[in-house]
Amino acid sequence: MSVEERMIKVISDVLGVEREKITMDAKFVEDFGVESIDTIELVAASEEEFDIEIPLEDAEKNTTVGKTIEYVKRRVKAKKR
Amino acid sequence: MKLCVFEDEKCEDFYPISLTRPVFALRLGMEELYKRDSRFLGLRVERAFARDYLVATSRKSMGIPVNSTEGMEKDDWLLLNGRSMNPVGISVEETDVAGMRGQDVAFIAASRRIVRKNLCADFKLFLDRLLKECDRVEADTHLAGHVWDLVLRNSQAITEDYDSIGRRGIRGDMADGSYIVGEEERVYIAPTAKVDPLVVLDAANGPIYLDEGVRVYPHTRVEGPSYIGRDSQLVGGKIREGCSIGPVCRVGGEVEESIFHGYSNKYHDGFIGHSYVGEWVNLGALTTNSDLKNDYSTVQVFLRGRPVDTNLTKVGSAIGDHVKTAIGTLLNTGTVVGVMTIVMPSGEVSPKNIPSFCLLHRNQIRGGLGFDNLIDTARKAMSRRGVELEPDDIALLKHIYDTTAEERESLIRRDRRKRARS
Repeated sequence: MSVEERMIKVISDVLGVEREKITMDAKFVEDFGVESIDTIELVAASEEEFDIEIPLEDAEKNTTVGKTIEYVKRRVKAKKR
Repeated sequence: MKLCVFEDEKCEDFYPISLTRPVFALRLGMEELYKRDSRFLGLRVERAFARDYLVATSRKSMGIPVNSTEGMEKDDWLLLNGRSMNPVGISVEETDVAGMRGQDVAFIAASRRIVRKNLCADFKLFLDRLLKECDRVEADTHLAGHVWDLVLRNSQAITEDYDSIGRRGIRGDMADGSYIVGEEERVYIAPTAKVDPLVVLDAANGPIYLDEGVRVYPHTRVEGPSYIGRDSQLVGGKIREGCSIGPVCRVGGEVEESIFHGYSNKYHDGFIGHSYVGEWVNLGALTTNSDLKNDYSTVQVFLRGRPVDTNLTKVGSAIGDHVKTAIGTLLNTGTVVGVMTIVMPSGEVSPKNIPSFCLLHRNQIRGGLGFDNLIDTARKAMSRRGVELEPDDIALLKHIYDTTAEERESLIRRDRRKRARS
């Protein structure tokens, strides 16, 4: 699976959102009602899925699914170097 | 003779509580150590020496020069180790005497003559020079070595303070249907304190002091010796013996032999015992700490990343300033929680060494919310009590954030490796 597919699965599992609703421009707070505790869970699940580290302050800046996936891709790429 | 308090190199053994304050500003009994020293010795503290990064905040809170030897040559000085828990045995009449506890300087009573001769800007060097000029005697005063020494001595200290301060009796509002067990002389209710019905103040085994503005709500039982600080609220539950609750705290549930600094909350049920809690801490509902191991063996506590045997069987937690625990948090015996850390429950007891500025989530140490976010949260919490987070406070916290980064990042990496292996 690609990083994008894996990340969509993580978001779906953690937030309990149907996969078809997880579009690139979907906003975590406005569209999925994400609160700070959900962000922490999402970060933890993403870190475990990709074995990367995501500072929470970075996660808060990634307000949409698309931004988050791009961010995770960059972290995964940086790890491989 | 004028009184000066100083920190020695053992101040770091009081982490995380002494990360944000000099060791002489730790609480014991009814007050901070330096205020007790001042009262027992009958001398005003007029000078203090602490770690450099604490100068600005200490100067502000104490209202005296900190880390300045300027002008000291004009007087006789009693230089007192800030870890002193009972300076009553020190004579303020004799000079050119150094009181020792083993290798530690407990105090130096120095005449103006030797102060003038040896004074220099470097306080440590000044102290060393004075020591060479003084007769050494074994000091009666006890120096705390760790936070748990303060907790262990707290019942005795409250009783000493109660007797020393000398206030007695019901001066405030004690409602019908509230009761004192033991002698009324062993209870002090300040003029603006209020005790509701269905409250028991049990002073049979030690005094109880309710300071100005304290409110004790129904279904609270307070056992002496206990001290409840200015404008604090007890909101139901058991305040067992040996508790010192700092100013503007809200405390409920069960608390035993514990010291709380000001503005901290433990509003709901849950047990805190043999613990030392910093300022601006919020312990969520049902937060509970263990203070006794099931095999009754002595408790080990992590200090600067290394386990230290306390040689005590009852040790709770040391919780740094601005810590927040979520509902249902379970703290292991002898747990240390660093400054501004957030603890989220996992259903298991916590690891024993939780560094500053991190997040404990699923019982694993992770990077926290980030310094700026934590400062924003602290600012909001403090404004709710009408207190402003000032630039000096932020600079102090930033210093701690930077200097604790290595330990924090090392433990984050360790827990990440654990996750990767599982």
